Amino acid sequence: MNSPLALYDRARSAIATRGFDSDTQTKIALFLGAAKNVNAAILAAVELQPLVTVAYPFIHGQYFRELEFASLLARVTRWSANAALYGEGASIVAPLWAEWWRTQVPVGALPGAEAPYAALALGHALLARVRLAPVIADGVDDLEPFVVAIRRIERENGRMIQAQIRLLKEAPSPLTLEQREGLIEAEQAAVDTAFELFLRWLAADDGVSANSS
Amino acid sequence: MPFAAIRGHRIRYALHGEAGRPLVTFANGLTQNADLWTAYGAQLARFGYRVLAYDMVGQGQSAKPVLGIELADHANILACLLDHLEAERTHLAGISFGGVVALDFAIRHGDRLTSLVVMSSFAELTPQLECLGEVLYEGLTQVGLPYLQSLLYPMNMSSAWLAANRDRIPEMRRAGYIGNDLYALQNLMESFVKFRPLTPELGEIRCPVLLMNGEFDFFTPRECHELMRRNLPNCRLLLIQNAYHAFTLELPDVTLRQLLEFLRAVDGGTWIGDGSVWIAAERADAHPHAFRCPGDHMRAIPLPDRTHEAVAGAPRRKKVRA
Repeated sequence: MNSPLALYDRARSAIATRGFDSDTQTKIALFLGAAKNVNAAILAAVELQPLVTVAYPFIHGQYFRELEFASLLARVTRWSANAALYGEGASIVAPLWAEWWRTQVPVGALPGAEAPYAALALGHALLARVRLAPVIADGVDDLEPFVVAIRRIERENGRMIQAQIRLLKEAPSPLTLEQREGLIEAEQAAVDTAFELFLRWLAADDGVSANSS
Repeated sequence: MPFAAIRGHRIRYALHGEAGRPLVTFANGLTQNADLWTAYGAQLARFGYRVLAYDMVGQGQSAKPVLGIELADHANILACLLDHLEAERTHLAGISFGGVVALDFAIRHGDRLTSLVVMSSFAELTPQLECLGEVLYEGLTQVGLPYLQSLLYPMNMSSAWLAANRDRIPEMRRAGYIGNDLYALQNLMESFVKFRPLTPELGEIRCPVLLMNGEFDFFTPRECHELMRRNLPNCRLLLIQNAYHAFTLELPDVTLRQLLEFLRAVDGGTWIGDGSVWIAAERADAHPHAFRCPGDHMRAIPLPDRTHEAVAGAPRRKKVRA
């Protein structure tokens, strides 16, 4: 496994060579859009059951902010005509949706108290670990709408994640510390794996699989 | 770099120099990692030492527990890492956050220390430091990690360094952004919520202690180091000329020379921990390497030393009426 810095460097270098072309924008929009939509789906469960708690306004605000970012990405992206990209992108983000599905009560795989905690942990991992700003090459047009959107989303992620941080650390839970840490680590590992695959995909030349090292 | 599983956490560490030599351990500051000690490790190895550097929990490639850990856990993890490496004793040097961890280690695991170097650090939160800490925390949580980085560069480095490295800074910031996680840094900062001053326990640290403070460090200024100097029974305070908070990065040659002189004095039995205040020579190859501070080390204005006279002290500040 390459270091995170090396992976980012490869992706940035590839983008610097070919520019923010429609293929690159499509790849980023597919992954980042999925991250936003998965988190929105997690938050939607709370949205449908509004609770009078201190956390609700933050969750509520984050839900709509995530939807806003997903639609922003859809709007500013120059979508590629290469149909294969969409299939590859779907396979890379599929594990994220699978993680979300695991946390859905009663249909998911996780039992009672673990499911909502794992869902929060998945949201935390998506906001904390999916960071695209370092792939933006020097010399790009800072006013290019796609670049503006990526930077804006990343800045907002740092603020939005405060809701997940406080809830994971302080919300009452019947789970032990070890159980909570285990769930958090599992979700973070799932997101890290998907994101690493995505960075390889981003760095790959045409025709090179994301799985190549 | 190898990894070790310590108290349930993955710890990334690096060793330089041959086994069996006197060990020098480095503890990093906030947003830093073990790589920043690589040059020190190589140089100290040349002079007969074995050097251990590691990413503290929450930093670099060590574990970054989302739920955080207690401040005291850092010293315990270091003790376990030394056990893992079968190192009975070590010289320990820590900067900033790492300096606090080093002090805590010295208080609770002092029997394992040959000596201690505390750089740009503190034993208690002075009102100014507490306010600065709140600003950094607020910046991180309300604006984001890039904003914290923006704050730290001018706080840590001199104008001369910033000017000389203007072209490299964006790339350094990018690497720092990739290598650090907002939530993990936030956890390290939040671990100070329960921080209790270490000052009352400094008297328990019996090993030789070198305190190092940058001349113009306004993040952990002289008063932070003076509190330690007055309470440590076997110490000296060394002022680094023209230096700010992160002098280990800005002036590595000068820092290394001073560390070497200290280690040699300790290992050679010539160390005198008389609480005196010294100034490091500007050049790393200067002789002598340091000279006694001729003035009042607490003042920025170069007045004669009045610290031993019965003076009234600084004028008291009036409480502002509401």
